[in-house]
Amino acid sequence: MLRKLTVAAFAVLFMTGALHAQNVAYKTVTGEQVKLNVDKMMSKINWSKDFNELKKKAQAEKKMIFWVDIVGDIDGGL
Amino acid sequence: MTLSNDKVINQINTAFVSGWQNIKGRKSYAGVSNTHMPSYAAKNINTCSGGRNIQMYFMTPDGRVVHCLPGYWNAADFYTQAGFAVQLGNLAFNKRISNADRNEKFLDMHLQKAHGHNYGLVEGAQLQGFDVKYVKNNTNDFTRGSKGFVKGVKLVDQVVHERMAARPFVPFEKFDAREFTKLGIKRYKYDFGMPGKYGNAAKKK
Repeated sequence: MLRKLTVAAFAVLFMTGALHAQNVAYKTVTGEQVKLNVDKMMSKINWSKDFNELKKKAQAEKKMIFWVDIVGDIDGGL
Repeated sequence: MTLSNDKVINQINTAFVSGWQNIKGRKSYAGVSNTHMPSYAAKNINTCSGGRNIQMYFMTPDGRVVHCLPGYWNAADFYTQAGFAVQLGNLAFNKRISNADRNEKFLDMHLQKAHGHNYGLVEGAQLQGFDVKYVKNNTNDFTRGSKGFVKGVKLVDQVVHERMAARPFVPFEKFDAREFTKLGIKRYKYDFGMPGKYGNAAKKK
């Protein structure tokens, strides 16, 4: 009986969306690590700032385009 | 940081060519916040938070948008979504289907993502209180109807997929980012890690 009640309770929780209240586990990163991450991102990915040139490159290499619009500089202050 | 994750870097370099632009002061919808330098400490935030400050587009080689991730996405979720974008891109390469069928498939794929996943799969994709207030007053696609078991405001990733479903293969130049990024308030104070603020090792003078 207890087992049935437990299953029923979980079913209700899922149905009502009560399990939505799932919060992200916040993690912090030191300034030094952030700097290392930015340097890595800039050196390992070949970034362009010319969209039209990028389209030509994508068509030549038969790849898709990954494009970031950002407030600030991707390698500087955001 | 998502774009410095080895798996993500490998995925980007394998399937995409990459670019970026600074939209500060150039786009009316762009967010306004204090400047956060790369030497400042940082912390992860909810999925899609800062959606007006950063938009990550995935496009076909001729510049048609198949997916857009606004704001913060952790590496695992970004990897999944970028893989999904590649599947959407493959639709564009498939010459055996008509444009109508291609658009319908595009819509189906995004709506399946919006409604077919288990709630909470994209961890932390909930709006913060001030953004809930904003979307209730400024949008009509966040609040669920009165019918059905699930009530209240949708997860942000669900709305992102729904909005993308309505924008099949739109050229980047015509993509209405202003409407798409209506996910929360424009001015957002994020001072974690800044000198003298919480998260910064140096003491405030």
